[in-house]
Amino acid sequence: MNFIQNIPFFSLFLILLSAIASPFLSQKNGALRLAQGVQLAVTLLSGWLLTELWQTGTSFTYQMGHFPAPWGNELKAGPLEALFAASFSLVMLLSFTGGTRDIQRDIRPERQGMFCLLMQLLYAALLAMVYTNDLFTAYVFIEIAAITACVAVVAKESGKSVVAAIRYLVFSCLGSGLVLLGISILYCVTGHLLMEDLGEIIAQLVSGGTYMVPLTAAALLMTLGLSIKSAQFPFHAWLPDAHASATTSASAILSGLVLKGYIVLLIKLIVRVFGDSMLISIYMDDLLFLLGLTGMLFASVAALRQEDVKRMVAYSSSAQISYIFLALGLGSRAGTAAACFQILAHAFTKPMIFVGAGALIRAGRGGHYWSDLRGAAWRDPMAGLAFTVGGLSLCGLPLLAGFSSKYGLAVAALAAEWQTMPALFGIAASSVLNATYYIPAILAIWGKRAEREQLLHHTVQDYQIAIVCFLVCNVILGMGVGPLFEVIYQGLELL
Amino acid sequence: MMKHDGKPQHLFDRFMRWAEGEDPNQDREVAEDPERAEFIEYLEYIDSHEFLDFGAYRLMRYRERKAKGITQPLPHSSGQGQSVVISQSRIPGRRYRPGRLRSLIRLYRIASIFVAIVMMVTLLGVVLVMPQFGDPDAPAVNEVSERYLEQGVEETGAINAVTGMILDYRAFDTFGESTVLFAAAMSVILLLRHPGRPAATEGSGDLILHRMGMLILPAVMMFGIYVILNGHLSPGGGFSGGTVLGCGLILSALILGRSRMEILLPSKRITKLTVICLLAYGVMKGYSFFTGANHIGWDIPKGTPGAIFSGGFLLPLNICVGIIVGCTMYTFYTLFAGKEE
Repeated sequence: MNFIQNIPFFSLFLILLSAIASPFLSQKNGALRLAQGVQLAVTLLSGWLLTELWQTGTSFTYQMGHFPAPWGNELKAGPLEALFAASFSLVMLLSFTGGTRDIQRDIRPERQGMFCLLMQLLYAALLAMVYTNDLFTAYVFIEIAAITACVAVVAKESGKSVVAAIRYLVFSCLGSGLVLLGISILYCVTGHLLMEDLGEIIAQLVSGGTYMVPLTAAALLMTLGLSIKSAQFPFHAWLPDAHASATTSASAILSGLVLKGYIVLLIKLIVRVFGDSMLISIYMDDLLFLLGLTGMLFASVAALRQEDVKRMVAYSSSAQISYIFLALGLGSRAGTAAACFQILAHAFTKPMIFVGAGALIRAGRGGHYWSDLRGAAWRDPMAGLAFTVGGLSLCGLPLLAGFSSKYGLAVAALAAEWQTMPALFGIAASSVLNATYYIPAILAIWGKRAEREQLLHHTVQDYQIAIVCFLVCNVILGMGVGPLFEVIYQGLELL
Repeated sequence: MMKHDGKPQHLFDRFMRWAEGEDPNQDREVAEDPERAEFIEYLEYIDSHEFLDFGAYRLMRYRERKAKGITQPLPHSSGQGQSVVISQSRIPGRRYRPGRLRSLIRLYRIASIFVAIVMMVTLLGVVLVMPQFGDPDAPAVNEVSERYLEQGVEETGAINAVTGMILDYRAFDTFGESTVLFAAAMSVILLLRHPGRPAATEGSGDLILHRMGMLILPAVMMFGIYVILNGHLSPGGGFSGGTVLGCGLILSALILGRSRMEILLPSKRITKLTVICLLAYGVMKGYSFFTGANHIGWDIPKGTPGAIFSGGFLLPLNICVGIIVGCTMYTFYTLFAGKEE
C-alpha cells in the first residue's frame, strides 16, 4: 500500500486531534497559529495527493480499521476529492489569514482560542464530507458542521448575529433532519450505507421497479435537506443575516466553503448513489434546474436592494449557489463538471470579496453601508482591488474564475435538450444583474477621494498576502480552464 | 430562580400581543424590568432601522432624552420607571406597522399546518410500502448484520454486539459522534461562560431532596460506572453509562450546591477531562485505523471474551466515551442553569 493513500486519513486526524488539543495552548494566538499551520500542512499534503492521483489516473478506498467496507468505515479519494480537499484547505487558510485582525477585533480575547477550535472542527467536517464513502459518516459530519457553523455566526455577539444564528440553527436542524430521514429510508429499503453497494442495489431496484415510492421519497428528502443547508433559492432566507453579521473569516468560510461541502455531498449522491437515469425518471433534474433558474434571478434582484455591503455579497452567494444547482439540473456529465468548476470558482472568489469587504469596513471605521464606504478603497487599495476583481469575476470578466465557470456552464447547456435556451437566458440575465449591483459598488468604493485621505498603513499586512494569493488563484482558475476540466472529468469518471 | 417572571408561555403571549399591534405593557401596572424593555426596544429599532451597536443605541437614546430635557440617568444605573420614558420616545417615521405581523403570522400558521400535513401523508405513504419491522426477508437483513452478529464476538472480543459494532467495526462514526458532543459542549462554553458570571443555584436546602439524594447518589454513580465498565460484556456502554454518570453529577450539584461542586469538580477540570478523553479516543482509534488500513499487524490482544479485560481497546474506549458524555451533560446543566444576566 502506497504511503500517499494515508493522506486523507492523516489530514482528518491531524485537524481533529490538533483542534481537540488546542485548549491546552496557553500562548496568546496559539490556537490561531496552530490552526494556520495545520491548514498549510493539509493544503500541501492534498496538493501532493492531487498531483499523484491525476498523473496515475487512479482512485482508491481507505479502510478505516481492521474490517473491510460494508462492515467497517471507508474513505475514498480520487482526483476530484483531492482537488476539492486541496482547494478547500487553501481557501480555509487564506480566509483565516485574511480575517485575523477582524477575529481579534470582533471576538473577546478569552474566546478566540475556542473559536479557532470550532472552526477547525468545521474544517474537518468539510473534508470528511468530501472524502467519505459512507452515508452515515457523512451524516455525523453534517451534524458537526451544523453546530460549528452556528457558532461561527454567533461568536461575534452582536444582537443581530444572535438572531441570525437562531434562525440559522432552525434551518440547519431542519436540513439535517430531512437528510437523516432520507438515509434511514434508504437503509430500510437497501440494507446498506456504503455508497457503492447502495448504488448497485438502487440500480437493481429501479430496473425491477420495486420500492419506487420510498426511493423517490428518499431522493427528494435528501435533496431537499441538502439544498436547505446550502441555501438554494426558496430556502435561502437564513443566509443573508447569518453571513452578514458574522466576523470576516466566518463569513468567508461559511459562504465559500460550508455551502459547498453539502453540494459536494449532493454531487456524490447524484453520481454514485442514485445515478442519473433514476433521477431523470423522477424528474429530479428538471426540479433542480427550475429551482436554480429562479434562484439565480430572485437572489440577484434581492441583492440589488441591499444597502449593507456584506448583505449584498451574501445575497450574491445565494445567486451563485443557484448556478451550481442549474448545472446539476442539466442532468449530464458536462453539467456536473460545470457544477464542480463553479464550486471551485466561487470558493476562491467569494472569500476574497468578504476579506476585501472586511478590510474596507475596517478602513471606513466600521461602517457597513455604501455611504460609509465611499472612497474607502483609496484608504486600503489592496482591499479595494480584492473587492473589484472579485466583483468583476462574478460578473464574468474574461480571464477570471467567474467567466470560466459561466463558459463551462454555457457549453454544458448547449448540449442539453429543452434546457438550452432557458439556461443561456438565465446566465445572461443573471450576469447583467450581477453587473448592475457589483459595478456601482466598485465605482462607489473607488469614488472621489476625500481631501486628505491617508493610506492606513505602509507595511505589508498578513491579510494583504492572503488577498494576493486569492487574486493569483482566481487568475489561475480563469486561465487554466483546460487542465482543470480535465481533472474534473477524470475525477467524475473515478468518483 | 430567575429574576423576572419569564415563563415561556407568558413571553409568547406578550410577543403575540406585540405582533398584533397592541401595547403588551398596557395591563401591567407594575413597571416591566427596564433592562429587558430597553433591549426589546433595541431589537425593534434594529429591525426597522439599520443595525447599531447596543452601546451606541443607548448613547443615542440618552442624548435624545437629554435634548428633550428628561435628564434621567441611563436605565442601567437606576432601577425604576424608565420604560415609560423609553416607550414614549419612539422615533417618528419608523417603519412600525401594527397588524402587519398579525396577517403574516396567520399565513405562517396555515402554511405550516399545510406543510406538516403534506409531510405526514408522504411519510405515512412511504412507511406503508416499506418492509415490515422485524421481517426476516427485509433487505436490511443481509450479510452486513449477519457478520456483526455471528462473527462479532470472535472479531472484536465483545459479548455485547452493539459495543463491538460502534466501537470497533464502525469506530470512525463513533469518533464523529463524540466530536459532536465535544463541539456542542465547547459551543455552549464559548457562548455562556463569562468570567464574572454569578455563581448559580446554591444547594436548594430542601431536606427531603438532600437526604434522599445522599441516599441514592452512591447507587447512581456506581451504576453508571458499572454500565461503562461492563459495556463490552452486557447491555450498556459508554453512551448509556455516561448518561447515568452525568445524571449523578447533576444530582450531586443539586444536593451539594454550586460552591462545593466548584471545589470538587471545577469547570476548568471538566473541560480538561473531556479534552484528554477525546484525545485518548482519537489516538487509540487512530492507531488501530492506521495499522488496520496498512495491514501492519500489531493488533491489540483480544483476551478471552467475557473477561473484564478483553476486547482490545474496547474497555478504555468505553471509559473515554462515558467520561465525555457525562462531562458534556454536566457542562450543559451548569451553564444553562446559571442566572440570567
